Amino acid sequence: MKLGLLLGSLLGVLALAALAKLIGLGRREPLTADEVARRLAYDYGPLALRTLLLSQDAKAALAFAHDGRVFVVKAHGVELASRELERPLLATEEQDTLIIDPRDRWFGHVRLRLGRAQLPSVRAMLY
Amino acid sequence: MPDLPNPVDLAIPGFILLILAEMIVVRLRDRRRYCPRDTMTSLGLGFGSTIAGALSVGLIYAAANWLSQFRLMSVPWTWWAFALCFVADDFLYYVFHRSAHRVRWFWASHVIHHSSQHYNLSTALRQTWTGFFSLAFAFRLPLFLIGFPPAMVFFCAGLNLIYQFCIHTEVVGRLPRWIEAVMNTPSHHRIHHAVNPRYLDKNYAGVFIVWDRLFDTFEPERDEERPRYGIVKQLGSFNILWAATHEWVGIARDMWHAPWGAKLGYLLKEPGWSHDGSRETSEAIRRRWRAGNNAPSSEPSSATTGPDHVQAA
Repeated sequence: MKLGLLLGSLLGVLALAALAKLIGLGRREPLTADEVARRLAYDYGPLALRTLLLSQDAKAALAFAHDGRVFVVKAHGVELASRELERPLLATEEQDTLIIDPRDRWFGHVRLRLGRAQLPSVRAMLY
Repeated sequence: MPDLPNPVDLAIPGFILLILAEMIVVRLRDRRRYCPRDTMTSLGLGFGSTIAGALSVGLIYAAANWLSQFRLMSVPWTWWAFALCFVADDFLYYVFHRSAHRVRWFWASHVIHHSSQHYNLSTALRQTWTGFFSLAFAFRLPLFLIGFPPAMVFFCAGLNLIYQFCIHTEVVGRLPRWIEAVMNTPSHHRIHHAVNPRYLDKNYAGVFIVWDRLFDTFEPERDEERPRYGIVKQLGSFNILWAATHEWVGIARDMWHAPWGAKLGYLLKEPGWSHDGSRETSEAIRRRWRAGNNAPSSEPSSATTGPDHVQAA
């Protein structure tokens, strides 16, 4: 392959990626409970959800099913991505934020801004 | 022997212009169909794949030329030989592609192409870095043994790839019925990229959809069931290195932890296979869905899935 072609391709790639951002492609609306429930049903089949916690920044959610399973959902670009959490659940707190570790390094930790008042009740559900 | 150009090299400016045009259409229709970070990952993977291909092309050419010594006949440089080569190459592509979804070793290399949750022209460029390592080129070897000149085969393979680039789009709906009957189209290939249980692991064709119709792997797109794209367990990461290697890492982990008698199964059986039955293959997912235990794969009603309590702080 010619070096010119390689460099041209690289420039083209960078220009397209920049353009996608520039013209506002892929802007997502805030996460909603319906959207999260739909995603979980897609990924895991029908679920009877007991509680759904939406982060204040509308970028993540934590879902508790009646059968005891717990799921975390995060905005992933325009789409959503989810993980079923293994027990014991791994979570830490940082002021008003709950940080969930789904034991998947590349999926990454999921941060839920819940508010200080809500944290104790969430803690009770988690452990 | 004519000195044929690499058609893919010539097509690169066309790829860029078509992506540009698609972005503009998407911006006007529904800008959620493109995601800048996803596009960057796809294009980065495509760029890396070009480099990986450039590094291995010499070895593949050498192997093809060496194997040609043992050819059954010498196929001449005529127009009909090109046509025959194109069709034969497309059939072997079908065989390769079906294997790439049914054998985890080949899937580990091919999964990169499916790892986006979007379906647009940039997704087409999300190509493997490990194709040479996975020995995917072996599927083309019969053509050299028959007697097709390697340059002719690689030229046809390049045209095949260019055709396939063009069908990775949601901008085009359905084409006239006679085209949909014979050719792989955007509609047919959307199904191939979908993870809906009904659509999972269908439509392996490259250029001619007739292979899927012949070998019972065809599934039409339904208006009432919009495809959802990606892989069964979405990556949830835009990291290029992870997208390129995650399934290889998964194989290594599974083989390490598996009992001795099951290790090869994680390499050679289909994706989703496990020795203790704790995972699901695409067939198992489809069976469960057909049995009615799965969610309706289009739009599950929030009545069956909605939470009793929503706490939005």
